[in-house]
Amino acid sequence: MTTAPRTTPTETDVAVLHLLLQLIAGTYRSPADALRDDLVSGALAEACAALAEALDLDAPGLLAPDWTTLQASYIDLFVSSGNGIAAPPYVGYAIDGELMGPSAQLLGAAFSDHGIELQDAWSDLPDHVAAVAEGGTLLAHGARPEAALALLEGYLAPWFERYATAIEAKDVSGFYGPMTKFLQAAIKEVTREARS
Amino acid sequence: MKLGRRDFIKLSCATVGALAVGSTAKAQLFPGGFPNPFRPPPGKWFEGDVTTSYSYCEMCFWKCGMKVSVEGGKVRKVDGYLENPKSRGMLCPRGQAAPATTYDPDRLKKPLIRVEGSERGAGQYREASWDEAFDYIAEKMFAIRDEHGTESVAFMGHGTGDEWFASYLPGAWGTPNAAKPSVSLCTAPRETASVYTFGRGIAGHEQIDWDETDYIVLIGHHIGEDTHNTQLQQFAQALTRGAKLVVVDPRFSVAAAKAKDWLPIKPATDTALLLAWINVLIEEEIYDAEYVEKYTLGFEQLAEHAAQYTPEWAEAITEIPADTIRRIAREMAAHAPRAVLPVGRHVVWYGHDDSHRMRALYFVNILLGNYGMPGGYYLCDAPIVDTFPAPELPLAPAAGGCGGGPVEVGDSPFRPSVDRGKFFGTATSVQEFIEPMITGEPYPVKGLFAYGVNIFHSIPMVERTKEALRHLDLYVAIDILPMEHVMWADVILPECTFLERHDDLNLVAHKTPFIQARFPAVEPMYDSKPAWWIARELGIKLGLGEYFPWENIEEYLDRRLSSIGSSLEAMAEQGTIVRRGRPYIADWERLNRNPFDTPSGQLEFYSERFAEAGLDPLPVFIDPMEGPSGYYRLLYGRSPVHTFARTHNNAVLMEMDSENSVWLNTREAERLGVSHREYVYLENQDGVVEGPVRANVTERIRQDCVYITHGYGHKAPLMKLANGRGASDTHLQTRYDLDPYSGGAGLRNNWVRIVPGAPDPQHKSIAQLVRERSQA
Amino acid sequence: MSRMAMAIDLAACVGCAACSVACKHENEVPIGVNRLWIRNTTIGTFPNLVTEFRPEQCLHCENPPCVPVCPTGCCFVRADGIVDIEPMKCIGCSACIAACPYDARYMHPDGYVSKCDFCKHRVAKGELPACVTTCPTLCRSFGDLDDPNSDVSIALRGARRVDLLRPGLGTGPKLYYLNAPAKFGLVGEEGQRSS
Ligand code: SF4
Ligand code: SF4
Ligand code: SF4
Ligand code: SF4
Repeated sequence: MTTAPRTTPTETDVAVLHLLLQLIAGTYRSPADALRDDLVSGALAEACAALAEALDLDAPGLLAPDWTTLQASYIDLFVSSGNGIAAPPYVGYAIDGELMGPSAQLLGAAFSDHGIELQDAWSDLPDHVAAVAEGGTLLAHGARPEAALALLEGYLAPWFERYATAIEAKDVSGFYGPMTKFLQAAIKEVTREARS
Repeated sequence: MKLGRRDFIKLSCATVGALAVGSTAKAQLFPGGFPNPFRPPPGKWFEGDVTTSYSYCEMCFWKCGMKVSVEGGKVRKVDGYLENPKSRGMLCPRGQAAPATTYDPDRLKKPLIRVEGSERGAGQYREASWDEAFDYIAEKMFAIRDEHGTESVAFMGHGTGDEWFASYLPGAWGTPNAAKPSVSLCTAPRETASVYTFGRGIAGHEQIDWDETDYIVLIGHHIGEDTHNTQLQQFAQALTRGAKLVVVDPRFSVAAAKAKDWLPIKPATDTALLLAWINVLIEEEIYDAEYVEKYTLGFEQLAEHAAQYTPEWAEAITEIPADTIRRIAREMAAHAPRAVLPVGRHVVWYGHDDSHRMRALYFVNILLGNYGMPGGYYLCDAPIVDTFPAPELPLAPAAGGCGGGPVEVGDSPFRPSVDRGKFFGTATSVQEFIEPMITGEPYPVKGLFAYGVNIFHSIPMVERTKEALRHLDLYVAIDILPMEHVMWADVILPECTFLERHDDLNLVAHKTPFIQARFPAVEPMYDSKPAWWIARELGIKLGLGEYFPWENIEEYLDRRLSSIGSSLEAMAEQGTIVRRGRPYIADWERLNRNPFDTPSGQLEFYSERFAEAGLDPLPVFIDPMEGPSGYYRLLYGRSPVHTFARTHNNAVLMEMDSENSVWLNTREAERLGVSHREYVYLENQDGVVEGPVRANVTERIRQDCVYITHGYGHKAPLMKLANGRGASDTHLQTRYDLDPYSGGAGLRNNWVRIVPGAPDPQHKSIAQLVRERSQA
Repeated sequence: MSRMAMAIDLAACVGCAACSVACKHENEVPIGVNRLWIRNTTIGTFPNLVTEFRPEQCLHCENPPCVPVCPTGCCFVRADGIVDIEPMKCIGCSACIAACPYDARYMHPDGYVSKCDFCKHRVAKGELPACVTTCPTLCRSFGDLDDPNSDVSIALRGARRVDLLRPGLGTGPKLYYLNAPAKFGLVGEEGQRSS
């Protein structure tokens, strides 16, 4: 048995990973007061700037989004749209092409094996991209950074891979498009660095 | 990469509110990851130091020659080998899964003695040494002998080791009450019918000359779901070669899916169809007149008798059009003698009808002139190897064998077996041993050995069996798994699996008769022991040491092999010794010998011996029992990946087929409002309920019957994978009809109704159970 | 160069799963995932029925969508046409699992992707794959398509009909289904109702 060439992640790595996952979770949750607060207070912009600096990326140029437009855009991109939504927000769907398919099952099993459970209040599917990212933050936080990284690479990255372009193309809010582009770049950077 | 003081940024983002860390973090499925990309794959077994040894498979009774690969002290893989006439290099799914039985963590590990004062079935045991266990058994056996006689101990056995426990030890001890479920719960009618028709049993494993046949008619014979390896190979090869197949079955079986004609017969009417075929072959004079003239007796009586069984008569009974009956008969005749109606294995279907059906089946074959002819039934005998020199047993073993004829019990100082006189045949009938345990008639049975027989999943009327067990003074179970019936025993003796042991030579009647040997691939795990050792040690305790004059199995086997000029060492290199057979009548005639051991020396249509006994000398059709309205006749069969009720704790096989389902015709399901895959209960005519079991709503079955695969529905909490999955057909068999010829128990005389709305039992996946088991 | 391929005669296959169990032990495939599984589908109405037993596994596509998506290059096509994975290089990203339209790949609990590799270790020794060796209906044949005398070439020539699994995808499967029992070919594709 050989050991894979991999160094233990530093505290900074973990903090970056955690922040990235937080931002993913924050971006794709349904647009309610919490998101508005983060936007209005500038906390979200600040977080993006911090991540951009850490990863040597350009921070997203967020347009000052009109709140109603943002909400409408969310619905159009992720919930329901006359022409079909741009991006079903489920990581399992991005991987398997079916809802609650094998990847979603595997993901659920893995979460529960890590002691992470679905809240009763959560009414959407468990592999919603925001929920999965939130799970990642719990893992990163709970000192399981490798698990969080694997989650990022294995489940979140494919979702971005599949839908980022469509989201950018269809976004009218000026928020989801740039954020998606930025987050995808950040994922690439984090996984690249983790592997180097 | 750097991240300054801002890593504490307070985003409300973190609380999407979807997930939470639960109170208990379970052990991880993917240690360290999701899954963990850091862990390198382990080395492969085949890259290590692999040794192989010979064995023959015990995952079912077929006993295919097997080569076992061991690496790192563990059995890694089993394979067939080309030189062996049974495996011919291949194994069926069950054989392939043999290592998973050896490494089943739920196995019995030590001898156990039931805690004094606890109820049978309560499952309270203490561990014991082998010596203590044997002492306990011997003491009870002596007490039974002194009070009731040696005959009051009964033995039931199944598997290679049953030679020790259902034949040798009972013969040495002195009881004719020894039986194998593989006779009266399986093959009895075909054996009795065969002996009284051909003067030979159905030796070996259904002696069909598949390689030469051109036309095959299967009657309720589930090849493909029965994965009897060689048979399946030859069947498939025959079809690939272009042989035509007709399947008669109320269900569109796997074999039916391969057939050119499927005749969805009304259940329990097969004999009518066979009699009509006899009628057509004779009326249209398309039978093999030359063969009949030369080799048979009683054709005139048969012709006269069969005249009444016209296709029109049969159509009304079987629901198969008369034209179809005629057409198939003509096709058979056109291909004769290379047309064959193979005899099945499990033929105890309807009781009174069974021996008639078997004889009618044989008669069609004889009329086609195929018995002892290429493309029909070949003739075979087991090779002869001397026994180890030992004193003659006080009583000739009475159990008979599923592949041989019934055993005649001659003059003997012992009382006849408790089932004597209930039926015509002379092999013992396992289900008939139960009643005397309760009633004490004709004399009490007070002790019972169950070796490898699952008595709650084979003998009908399970509650009666449990009642009988409560009446016993001694009940010993020898097994490898804590099956439900095992956990009722007073003493439980853990046998090791076949990969861990020697066994006696296997002498196989086959087109090319052969001898095969079994060598242990690894040492027995835990404190388990091989059957030969258990029988011998117990025999010595019982004062029967003189009948076991060998020190160990190596000596025993070597001595036996020396009688054919071989040795244990040679066998270890070779695995199998193949002999030449005499498969066809012509091979016998060349030697001026007659293969037919009937009183007349001919194939007998009309049986004087049956007539003398007051039985029908020619086969007749008996109207089947009808069920209550709203009920379906309960049919059962096999899963290709399971054997009896034996393999349902094997992780690999359970993963392939983890639960049975009840097949229900689509229109009936619509009527009952049952949807596909929904859980239902099955309730039989006596109110016994099984399930929850899934409904398999399908076009593949008639509307008057339902079907489940046998062996599921274990009620054995110690068998973690098997327990509580699916429904048991045996538990729903609360009545049977005794075949007056063979002593077989006709089991398909039970009816069930479907009770919708059973709760989903929320079975865990096998993978989940395996994980939990490995963490326990 | 050679093009290793497999053919399964559906007229003979009975869906017994001996192949799958053999594969499980040969390749130490963990409980919970499989390299090889059987799809069993019935169409028609009583008594006019067709039941097809169809083993499925990696098809060793000539144009495999699973290979180019791999970020580390651990998925590759060998010179003999076997589509293979180098587990040591696999980071478990699952991109190939998503890319395979036949669901042939699975995640090994140890964190790397795995699938049927035509038992390359046996092929290297001149043996047949474990599933081919044990199949009691002898319905599987294996060998080099470029060799007209290989078992698989002979089987393909002798077949009444040959079907590929979803040929429209352009993946170029090298697993051939021979003599499908239904007149129109493989059952269980879109638009057919099973009974
Ligand atoms: S038929 Fe299968 S289970 Fe039975 S002995 Fe042969 S390989 Fe073993
Ligand atoms: S072993 Fe052969 S017959 Fe059985 S399922 Fe596999 S391919 Fe089909
Ligand atoms: S079947 Fe799937 S895994 Fe196999 S080569 Fe084709 S795309 Fe790749
Ligand atoms: S070729 Fe080998 S790895 Fe592939 S399915 Fe068959 S046994 Fe499994």
